[in-house]
Amino acid sequence: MNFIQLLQYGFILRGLEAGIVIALIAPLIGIFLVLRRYSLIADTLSHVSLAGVALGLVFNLNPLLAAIITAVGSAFLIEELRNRQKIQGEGALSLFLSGSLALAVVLISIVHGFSVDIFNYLFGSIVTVTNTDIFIIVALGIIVLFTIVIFYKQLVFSSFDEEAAKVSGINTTWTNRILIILASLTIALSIPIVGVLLIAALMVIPVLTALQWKRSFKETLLIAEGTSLVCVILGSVLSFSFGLSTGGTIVLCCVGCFVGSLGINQSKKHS
Amino acid sequence: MSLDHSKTIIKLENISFQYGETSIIEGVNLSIHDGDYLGIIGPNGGGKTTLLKIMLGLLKPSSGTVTLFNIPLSHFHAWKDIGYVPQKALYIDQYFPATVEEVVSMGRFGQKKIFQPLGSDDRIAIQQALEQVGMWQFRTRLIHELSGGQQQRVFIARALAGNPKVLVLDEPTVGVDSTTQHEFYTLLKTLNQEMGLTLVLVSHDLEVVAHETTEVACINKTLLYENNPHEMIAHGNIQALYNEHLQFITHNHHSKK
Repeated sequence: MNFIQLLQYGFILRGLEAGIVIALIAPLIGIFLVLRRYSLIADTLSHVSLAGVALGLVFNLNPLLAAIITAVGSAFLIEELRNRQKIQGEGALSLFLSGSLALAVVLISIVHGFSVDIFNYLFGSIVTVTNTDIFIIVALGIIVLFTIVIFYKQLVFSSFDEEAAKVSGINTTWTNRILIILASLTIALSIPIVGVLLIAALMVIPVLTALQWKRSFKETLLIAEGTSLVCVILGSVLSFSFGLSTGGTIVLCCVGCFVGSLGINQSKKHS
Repeated sequence: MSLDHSKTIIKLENISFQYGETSIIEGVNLSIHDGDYLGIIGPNGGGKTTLLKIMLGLLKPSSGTVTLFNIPLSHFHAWKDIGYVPQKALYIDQYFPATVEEVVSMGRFGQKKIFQPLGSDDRIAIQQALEQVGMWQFRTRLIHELSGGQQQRVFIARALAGNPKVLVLDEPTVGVDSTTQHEFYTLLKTLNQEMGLTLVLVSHDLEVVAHETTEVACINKTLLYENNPHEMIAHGNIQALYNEHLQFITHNHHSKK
């Protein structure tokens, strides 16, 4: 089956639309998380989102919406705990990661009787994405995209040098809050396509790939976006064509790009 | 440029700072005037950097008030008038992908409204700042590829790009070799004497402060001395500062970190 034939399936096209929105926003947030040494937050918020999905299933709410609300709420709490220095940064992340995973597992064991295919939430599936999910992903994804564009300067400066950014008059506390909220939204939105366990990879690996090329910030961002787009489209098509897990295939494509970039740049260095 | 040396632009009144139970700074009063080149010296752990951070609003003092350009710090918004060069060159994130030009352009960000991109006036300011520090030809290089001295020049350019009235520098030459240090202090002198920029320099390096600055403040928990650097050497205030017998020797080759 070729690519054009694939697109004739309405659900594939819808899944791809949502995938492309995710592909665009994931590295855009990821680059700031990676450069701030804050990649673990992506893993934490994805596990929190799983607890949200489980809550949605238990209380019969839209699991994606429940995941979004839980992730954003937890992001706020984590940032507050860090700001008030009640708990050390990474400690807060570990607490939320394991705590929410425990909650998710307990809740899932309750709803297991309803034979929910939890596998799709864990690893993503382009086939089972619902119309409502796609509408939510595209609408909120565009909001995330615009918010990053609006706060781009603040995010760049405070990621590079938080103190100097503060002295220049940038409100770094709010910039950090906005970043973590956007991260939680992006993670929750990505669950239907990439799944809880693999979303952090989509945020981080394209950025790590782009960093191998040692270019300016703007070029690095563009390379990361390009890598992410290619991997999401290629991964989705391959996963559907061969009946593979969507999230897994996308992330393997990302890993392939990373290894390729690393190899090319290492050989450049030695030649 | 006409300077009014009687005009106070930064005023610290009765500043104290405690970290937990430990007192870092006690009752410091300090005034910085227009056109001053003030060196803040003192031993490591004596509270110099803490005082600087309080001055810039990065730390809240336990007691006392900070006034910037006659406005209390809590109401101060004209941050573009203050250029900050942090103690950074040694530990620049080698993974952060930013060119020299991108780093200096950050110096214009604080003056922009959200959503407002950099315009041609910003580009001109960025170029001028880079030319002033002699780094324009390096604009497309990545910041972490440069030497410590070059990086520090870029950070000065970033602070200059915002057209500040005061430049605040925290240990700017840590990890920089002595020839580069010399060039660096010549640049600072030019900025102070020819452009009338007020400079506040935190350093643990007595020699630099004694030779370069026009005013000196010695901090070791309290303000031990505030006057001009020549009198400081003459009257043996250094012993009080370091609580030990110390001879002041001038030498040209200096590699102390």
